[in-house]
Amino acid sequence: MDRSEYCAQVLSHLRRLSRREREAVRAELEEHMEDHICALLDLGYDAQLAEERTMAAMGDPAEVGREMEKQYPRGWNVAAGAALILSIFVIFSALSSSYNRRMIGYAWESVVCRVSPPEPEEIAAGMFYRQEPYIPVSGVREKVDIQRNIGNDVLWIYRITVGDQDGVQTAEAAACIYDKIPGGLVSFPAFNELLVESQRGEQQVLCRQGALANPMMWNLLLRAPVRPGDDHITLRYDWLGETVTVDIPLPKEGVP
Amino acid sequence: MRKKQQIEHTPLLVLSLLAVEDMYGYQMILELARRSNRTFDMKEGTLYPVLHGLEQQGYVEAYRQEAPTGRVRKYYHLTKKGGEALRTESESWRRYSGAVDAVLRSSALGLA
Repeated sequence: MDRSEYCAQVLSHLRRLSRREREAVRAELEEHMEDHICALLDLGYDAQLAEERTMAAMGDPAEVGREMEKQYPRGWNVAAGAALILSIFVIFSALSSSYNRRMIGYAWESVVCRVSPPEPEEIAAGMFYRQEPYIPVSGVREKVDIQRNIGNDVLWIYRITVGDQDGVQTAEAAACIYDKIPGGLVSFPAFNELLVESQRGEQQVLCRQGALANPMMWNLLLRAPVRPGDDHITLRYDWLGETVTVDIPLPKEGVP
Repeated sequence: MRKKQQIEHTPLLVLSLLAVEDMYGYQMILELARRSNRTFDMKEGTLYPVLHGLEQQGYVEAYRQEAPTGRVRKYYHLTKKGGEALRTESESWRRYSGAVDAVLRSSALGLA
């Protein structure tokens, strides 16, 4: 019997150990035998005799394997196995229903929106409910960070663009509404009117995307005509019987 | 009847070795044979179930380090929990061996 056969016999008894633990046992035993053989070689033994003596000194590999197995409680393996099976079952059950798959997708979108919100073009590309074709605003774009609590929801306005849209100077803000708790449903009533207003009172009902597509996150494009000298547009909505006003500043460069 | 000792003899000896310094397996075998004047000449492979058992119980912890031979080896270190177990079991063992010795001495006097 050589070193690798000895280790293989020990490892054949280690059923409760993970692959990593088994490899650690193998390495440790091989290192021990290497030390012993080297010591005998230093004493003048030839290689074959040194290996034979070392194997004899190591003892019965079956006994070592059985004793080693006893040191690793079965409970962990059983618990880990049960947890794995349960997890697979839960995941499989969740994914087996198209409703659940959709809800998981919605929740994921609502989380991603908080970290990496979509640009106006991405919002427009995802719109399935709009009355006219989307014409992008080409001009100056800037980050803004305006947050308002609406009950359990958060309205976040994160991007403002000012420029030409089909021959009209327009300001377009990108925003989203999501529940404070990731995965929670947006509770802001879908029938509530949201108005965007220029500084001269020109009003426009905003385009919204997601109100029907994703109940956990809405994307909004807030758009109003602007003129040189304007420094903001205004969002208005009703909440608990009162009109809430949010001024959205235009980029510092102003209206071109 | 004496309460059963919680730690068997070999683990107790291993903990005792590690109380002095961190060691790897082969080093422990040599040191055990040297200190016991080769009385504890155990089968070397059986040391490892003992070490892994002590590790599972939290009495020792292991790390890899280069040995004086230049080869990297798995060293074992006595933990605080292991140190406390060693103190308790050493005291228990001394009482036990003292009692056996006392009985043997009184029997020897009777034979004389």
